[in-house]
Amino acid sequence: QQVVLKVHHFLSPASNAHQNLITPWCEKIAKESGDRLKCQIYPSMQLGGTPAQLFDQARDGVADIIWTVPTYQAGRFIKSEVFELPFMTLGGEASSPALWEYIQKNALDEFKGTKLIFAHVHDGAVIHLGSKQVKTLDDMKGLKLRAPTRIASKMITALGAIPVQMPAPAVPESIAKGVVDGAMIPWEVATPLKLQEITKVHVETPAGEAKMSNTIFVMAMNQAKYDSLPADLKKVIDANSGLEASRFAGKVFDMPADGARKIARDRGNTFVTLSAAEYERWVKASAGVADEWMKEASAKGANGQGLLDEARTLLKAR
Amino acid sequence: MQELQALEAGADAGSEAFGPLGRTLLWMAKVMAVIGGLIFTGLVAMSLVSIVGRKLFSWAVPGDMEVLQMCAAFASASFFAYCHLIHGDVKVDFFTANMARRKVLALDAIGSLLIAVFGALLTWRTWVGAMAIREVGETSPILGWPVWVAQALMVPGFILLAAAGLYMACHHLAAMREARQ
Amino acid sequence: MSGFTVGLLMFAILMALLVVRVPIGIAMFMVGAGGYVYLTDSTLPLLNSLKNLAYARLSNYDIIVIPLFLLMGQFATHGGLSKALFRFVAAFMGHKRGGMAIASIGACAGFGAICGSSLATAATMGQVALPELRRFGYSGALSTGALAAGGTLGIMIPPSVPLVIYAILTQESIGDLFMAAVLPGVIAMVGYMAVIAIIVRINPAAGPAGPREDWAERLRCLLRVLPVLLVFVVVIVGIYGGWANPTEAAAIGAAACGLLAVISGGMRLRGILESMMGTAHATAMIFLVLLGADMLNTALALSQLPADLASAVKDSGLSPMLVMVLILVTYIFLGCVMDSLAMILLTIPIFYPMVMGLDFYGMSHTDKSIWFGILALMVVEIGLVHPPVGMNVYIINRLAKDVPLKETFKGVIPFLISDLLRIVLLLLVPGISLYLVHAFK
Ligand code: NA
Ligand code: NA
Repeated sequence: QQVVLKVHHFLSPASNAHQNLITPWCEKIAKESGDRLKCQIYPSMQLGGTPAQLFDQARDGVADIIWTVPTYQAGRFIKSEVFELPFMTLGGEASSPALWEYIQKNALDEFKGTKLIFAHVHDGAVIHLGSKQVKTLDDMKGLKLRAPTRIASKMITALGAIPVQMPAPAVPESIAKGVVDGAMIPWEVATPLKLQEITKVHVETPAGEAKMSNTIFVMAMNQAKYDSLPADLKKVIDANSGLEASRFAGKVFDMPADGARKIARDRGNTFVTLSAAEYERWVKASAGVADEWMKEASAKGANGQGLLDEARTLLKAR
Repeated sequence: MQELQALEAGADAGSEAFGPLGRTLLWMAKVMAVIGGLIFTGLVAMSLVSIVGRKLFSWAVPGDMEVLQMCAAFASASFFAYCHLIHGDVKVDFFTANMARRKVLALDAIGSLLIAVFGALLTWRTWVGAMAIREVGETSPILGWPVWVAQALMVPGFILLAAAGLYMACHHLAAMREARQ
Repeated sequence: MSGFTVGLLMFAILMALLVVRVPIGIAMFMVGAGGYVYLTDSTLPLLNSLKNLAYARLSNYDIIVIPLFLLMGQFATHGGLSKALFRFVAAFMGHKRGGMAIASIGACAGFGAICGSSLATAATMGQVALPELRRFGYSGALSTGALAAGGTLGIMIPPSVPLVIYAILTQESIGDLFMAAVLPGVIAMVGYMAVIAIIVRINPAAGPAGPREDWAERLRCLLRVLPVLLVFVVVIVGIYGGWANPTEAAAIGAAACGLLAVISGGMRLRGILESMMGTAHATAMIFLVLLGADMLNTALALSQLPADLASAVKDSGLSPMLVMVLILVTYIFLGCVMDSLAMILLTIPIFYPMVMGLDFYGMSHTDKSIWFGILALMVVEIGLVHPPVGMNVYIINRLAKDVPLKETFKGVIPFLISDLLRIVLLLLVPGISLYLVHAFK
């Protein structure tokens, strides 16, 4: 008989993640199971709670499957958080498989109680600015920037700017009204937020170099729900989990970037790519963030340095 | 229109027909309400400092947003018992407007009992939730404060709400017996 | 049983509980919890989702705006700002026929601009204006009717608690909704003033002219009311000028009103304690309903009732305007027995997806959402003044010991007519709601 899976996430039904990642994934498992697996997708936190509580909803069986940013729960996913450090990742497709492998080897305990389906990052955060120009590290001084994650807040501070917390939907208005000078946000959400109309300057790292910052995402399933499935349905879930599924998810988050850049170009916005020398300065200036992370990880009984090295190696191997 | 009575009587509402236990509960509820109100006043002051700092000195109270969120949860939870003890809940009294007072009191006793159930349920689950968060070590993003403490601080408010519901149920029943005689 | 049936059953049980006086928030919570257990076939998911229900709701950044606006209103009340407002408008209008009543409306609007609640506006302005109106020989029907209607300006003019709730439920911007409410709120004020002008033209005895104040006195009154204006401007400019988000703006407003109340209004310890307890009462009243609504809405989402209904309406081929009119009429009926906030919380999850699935004037998603929010606000506000429940009417009538309730309800009728005309206007011309939102983008 048919198994209905309650899939819960925090974005709107119009979001890239809902339309191009979660829905297609659900359609795929439906097809491969001969419609014996059916998702009932609940977007926009319809089943209650906050995005930070989503992971526990999967663990506790409030939802069967969730897609979330686990690090919204600060302090809990320290080991996995290493992929959010400054100048680590390259982009969704390039770096998501590394994240998957890293978690499998080092951080599975952080996801206990769930069956991890995939893990991924986005195409890398870009600094979008309203009117200010940033070409060098010195231009960052005193700028008010929206920070996407707790690690990014530390990075912004390390670069001499002032981090401001706010949810992504509040960003355009805040930039337009000068509450913040700009925001660190990936291209993936720039178009739905119409960020290209509000901002004039986009600061990126040189091609081939690591992105300034990233955010980790996971799709996870309640372990008991998975265990209760008959073997053939487990196989369908397995076939849509893991390294390749993570790569696909990362790719979905890369896809909107070109279109988003084109919109900005067509509006005559300025693109700033850090020079090689500048890039080195930025990396050096924010090096302390990784040190601090290592200390935190070590305080939790993990080998901070070892994990950081391992993450870097995995990322380079891709 | 009990809600109206509560609105008009303001800070002096309730107490008149309460016994010693009820007066003690009401006193505790008032103390918690004032504490909650003072916390909000404090948050107002903090926000002010943060806004002025951000605008004039490019400086904001670090983690002001998360402090606001954690404190507001605690402050709000400490308001519930007071509201119930002064008959402040929103109810539809249209259909029972012409009902005998005795019957209305019986219905209100049931309503208060449900409030007690609600308070007890939230007490239990909020505590369990706080302990679960404690175990996984969730902290606030900027300041690294433990979130479980903020959640656990809501529990006294819910305990008092459960007690208030239970007391009011008995209070209504006693009034009902009186009305019958 | 299908999810749809369960959803309908939940509504039926909820109505039954409301009829027997179960507090609205608790009734919503119990029905939601019951439905949740039934739909998930186990109590475990319910118990787990309850672990964080209260913290998730009460630590929500946007929701904090409500206690802060309530605190601001309490300070304004205990600091005597309402009296200064009334004196100010009365100094300019009082010498005209019906002028004192018109002044009450103006003062209600002014107070509404610093207070987020309709009941508080009615109660506060009633205490200040009613004795004056009676002193100058205004009829019981006109004076109580005008104040009951004027009280609704408390939620129609931003800040407004129901709009905050709507914004949170629909993930719309609080700032945009406040901006959208400004013009309709001003139209409401002007409409009420026009009603008074017409009434005194028909029946001059209802609102005799008061004494004419000289310019020195007018200036004095203006000076006294300036701080109130300042607070409003600071809050609005704070939000729209980019100084602050709504939560911070509410904090600024509360601080300003608190200072004013202490400095110029003579608020002392007792006033401060009463402000705290008043805020506690009003906040708890609202938050209890919110917690209940969270539980109910989760269960409703599980039942798929809102989504199924929305697609049924979309496929029914009914004209969008007809659907909208039916929704608005439903609100007016619900308003006969229910509180405005509970109405918004109960119905938005059902009606919102319906409205969003239909096309109105080719509006964008956001525009439609804001427009519907303002329309919903305007119709639930009517519930505050129309018989048989009309909370505002009761509040004002209690203050006027010599006016029978029937007369107050009679006095409110002309204002209700202006309410209906305004709703039709907003329905036909969405631009009235949207103009300022677009202009300030
Ligand atoms: Na208002
Ligand atoms: Na009503």
